[in-house]
Amino acid sequence: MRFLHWFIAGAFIGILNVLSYVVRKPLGVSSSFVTADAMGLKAAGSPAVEQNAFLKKHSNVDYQFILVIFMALGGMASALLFGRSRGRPMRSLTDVLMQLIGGFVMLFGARIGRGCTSGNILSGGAQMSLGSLLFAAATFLSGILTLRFMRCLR
Amino acid sequence: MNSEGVLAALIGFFFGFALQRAGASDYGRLHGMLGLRDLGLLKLMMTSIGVAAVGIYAFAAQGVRHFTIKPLKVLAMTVGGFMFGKGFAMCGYCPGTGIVGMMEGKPDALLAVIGGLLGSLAYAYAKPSIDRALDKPDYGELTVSSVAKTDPLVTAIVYGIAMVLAAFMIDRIGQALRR
Repeated sequence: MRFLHWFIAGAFIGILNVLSYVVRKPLGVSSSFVTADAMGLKAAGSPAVEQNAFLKKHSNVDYQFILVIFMALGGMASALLFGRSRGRPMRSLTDVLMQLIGGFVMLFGARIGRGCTSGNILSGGAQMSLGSLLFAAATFLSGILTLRFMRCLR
Repeated sequence: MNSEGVLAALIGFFFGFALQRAGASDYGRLHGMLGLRDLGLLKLMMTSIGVAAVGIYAFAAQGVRHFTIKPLKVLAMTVGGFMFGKGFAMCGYCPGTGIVGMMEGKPDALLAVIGGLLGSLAYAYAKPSIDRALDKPDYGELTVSSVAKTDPLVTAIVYGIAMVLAAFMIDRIGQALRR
């Protein structure tokens, strides 16, 4: 499968980020996971959202949540129109656990650092935020080391 | 939806489209970046940061100030980044590309998103104790230009050009090594 050239895609996403900044705020994704949690709990009738200040703060559909929903749809539309690659095959319980734990640790870390690849690295980097640049450096160092370590185990 | 919601939907749609078309939701490419074998996505991010820096600070100079600058909390950013990178390497997606991958019908991405929903929920309960442990030292919302005491737009232009040039340099070095 042929992918878009990195410069074209990068410049395009950069322009989208500027547009998003002008409309409301720069691109971000990960806090919408909290919104999804809070909305799911509310729909299930759980009192947890009222009892937890952080969930309550993120319990409504906001600008970013709409953006993330349509990001999901845009990705799906693109895959349907242009095709997709396959994910990693899930052959064993270890594979499944690796994905679940990886996702867990990743979003937990994103909340501690208040942003993910979008909010901290793309948007924080574009705003020249030193906090975000530190987060980005820690992310790449840790990601590279973790991958090396996983290779050694196999 | 109001007009802001419509714009959010349009920006989001094209964002997801571009991520998918660029291969950012491709497990092999994401791992290729962290394994330093395929730096396409790193170059993409650097280009995006450079372009957005110039645009954002150009609008800021015109009075549009919608910044979301994160504070330089040294411990929180370091610990958060380390955990984020570890999870990223383990599951092979980041939060946004995981959602895109899930929508493409990739089971590994769906599992990562489920893990992410649980991780976010766990954080909501752990937040008070994490804040106590990692909130200090906090140096505030520092940026390159606020520390260097230079004009933000001029700084952003230099910073933006440097980012894009660095991406092209990485590209050249990669091509030279492959030969």
